Amino acid sequence: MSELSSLLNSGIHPGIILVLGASLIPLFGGKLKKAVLVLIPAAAFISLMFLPHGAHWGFDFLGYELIFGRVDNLSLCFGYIFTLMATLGMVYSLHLDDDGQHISALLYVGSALGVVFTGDYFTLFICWEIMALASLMLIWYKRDEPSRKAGYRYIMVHAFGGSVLLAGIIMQVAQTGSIAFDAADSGMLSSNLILLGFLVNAAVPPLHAWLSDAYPEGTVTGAVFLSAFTTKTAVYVLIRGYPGWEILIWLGTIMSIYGIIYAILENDMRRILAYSIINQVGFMVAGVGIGTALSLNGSTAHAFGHILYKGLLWMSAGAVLYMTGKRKCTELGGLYKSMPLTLIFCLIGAASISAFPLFSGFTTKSMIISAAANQHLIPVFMLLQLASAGVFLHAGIKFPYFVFFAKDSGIRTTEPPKNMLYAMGGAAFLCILLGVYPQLLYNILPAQIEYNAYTIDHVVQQLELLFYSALAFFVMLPLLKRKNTISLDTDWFYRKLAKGFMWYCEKPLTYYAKKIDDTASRTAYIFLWFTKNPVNAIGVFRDMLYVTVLEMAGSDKAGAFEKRIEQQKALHFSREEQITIGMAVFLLTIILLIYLLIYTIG
Amino acid sequence: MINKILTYGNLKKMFIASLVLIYLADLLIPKHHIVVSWEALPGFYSIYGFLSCVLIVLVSKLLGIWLQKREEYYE
Repeated sequence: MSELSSLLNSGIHPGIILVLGASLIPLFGGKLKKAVLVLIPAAAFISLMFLPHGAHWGFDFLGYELIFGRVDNLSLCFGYIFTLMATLGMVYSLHLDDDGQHISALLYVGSALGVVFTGDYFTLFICWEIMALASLMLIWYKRDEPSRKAGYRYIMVHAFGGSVLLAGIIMQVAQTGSIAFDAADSGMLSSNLILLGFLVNAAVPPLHAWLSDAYPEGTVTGAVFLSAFTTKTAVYVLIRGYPGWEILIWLGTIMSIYGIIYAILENDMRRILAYSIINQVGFMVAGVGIGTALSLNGSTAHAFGHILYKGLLWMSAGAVLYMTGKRKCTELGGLYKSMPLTLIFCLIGAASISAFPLFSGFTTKSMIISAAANQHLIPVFMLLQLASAGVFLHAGIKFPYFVFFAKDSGIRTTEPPKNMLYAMGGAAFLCILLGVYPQLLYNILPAQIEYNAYTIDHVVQQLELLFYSALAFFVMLPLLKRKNTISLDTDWFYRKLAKGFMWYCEKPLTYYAKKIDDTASRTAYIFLWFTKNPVNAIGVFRDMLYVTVLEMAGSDKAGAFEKRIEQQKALHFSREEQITIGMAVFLLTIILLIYLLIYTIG
Repeated sequence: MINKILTYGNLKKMFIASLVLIYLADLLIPKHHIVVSWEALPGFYSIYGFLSCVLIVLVSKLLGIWLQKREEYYE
């Protein structure tokens, strides 16, 4: 009992609130259910405010120490934004009468919080896998053929990532005897395997295609959750375990550009946003790789800001999809008249992701870029600036332009349900709040350092970068007109190449496998036949040899032997002095006894 | 009222005016945080922003020749 009260003294795990809350959902109905749906994540958010720093909820498990609650600035910061986004996401999905989706979403966020607050690899792995399965449900609940297939591919990739992670963890435990999850030791293979597992979830190319393949197939509301948690949990574990790993600088920089190139090619608005996640997470991964206090603060802050504005963009895309049933730029356009509020929220999200001054991206992303400059990583600094210009190009202008303006698609619709508008309004408010009053966020970052994004030259340079990117967009508009196409990505390898592999398995490989199988069973049969009656078998072989020799010599006596062979073969299994099974066992026992005697005496 | 102000032509004029104003602002402000010497060039980030986007679009167009397929490709 005292143990329980000491557990409760250190507060309640926010993940537990979500998971237990999820199990209560089917018990409620009507308006009460809607209140409960929003109150569960809101309660988790509030519970974080009462969590004292330190390690809580430690348990002994098979001689290893599990820590469910490692509470410090870093985990709290991710905890706050996760629960905040979960609350907004729940408001966004209130119109939905689908308990399964609500439960999956809460379980998904709950397990993500489990990863964020854990201090050991064992809990991390379990939560990691629950996260993969719960998020899979948010794709499958769309209940159509493309989402079913994309879901299978999604879970296969995550099963691979999870296995690599588990292999790394097992090696780590075997070598060090500890399951504590702390900064990794760069000299060990296990650290590299764990890193690989993390990179799969961070969607680092070429391991990223699950994201752009599956997220656009998620449900309208599910995709809002998906966009926030899996990749950002990966960013968290990278900050925790791999700060300052140089390879991450380059992977992050490549990611940030890779995402843009594909977003430019895309026609599907949700796929544009999916590639945009890869681009944005690239900034964060690069920040982790730089590894200074400023860049780690930057990655944390950017994850915080990104979850809000990317959530907002997915919400606005979801609202369009929900009202029109269409996702392709070629089918959309001119919606500004029918959905003006959605447009305004979308533009706030677009301004935030593009890092316009007074919006959240400006106050968060610039920390990472400044950190690159401070470390004199000139190529990284310049490439991240290029990527920043590209963000405005694809997410800032292209997405709103083709959906709400461009040509008039002839679609006449209305604003989405009120709860969707409230959720978008809330997210939009927070995007502006973080842009105008960034100190609110800076105060809860891991390291307490002074940073001011609003210097006059920084503001002017950023405006130059953005406005002249816009100029480039309008100059090159003819090149950017979309056609009905899809773009090949690394999922080609498991979608097309795997088909070729399956053909190889089914046709040539199976043919030769059967040949080998036949030969083996024939050989086995001959041995079996021989051992059934070795004396007779030797007689048969001898006579066959006679026949061959006599035939070669041209003698006519061969016929007599052939006859004898037939007789012997017929008698082969019918000899009465065959050894019974009991007899054979008895003989074997005696042989083994003799062997044992020789073995013990010798 | 607002529809009359926000016509296509007016928006275009406002956009061009802001391009000019921002470029001029760059020439006037003191630059304290120079990391690379070329950042001090007049209107460097205007040019860099424009050229970055042109490069990104051209590269993606080029890659699109191989990467873009008809929508039924995987079916």
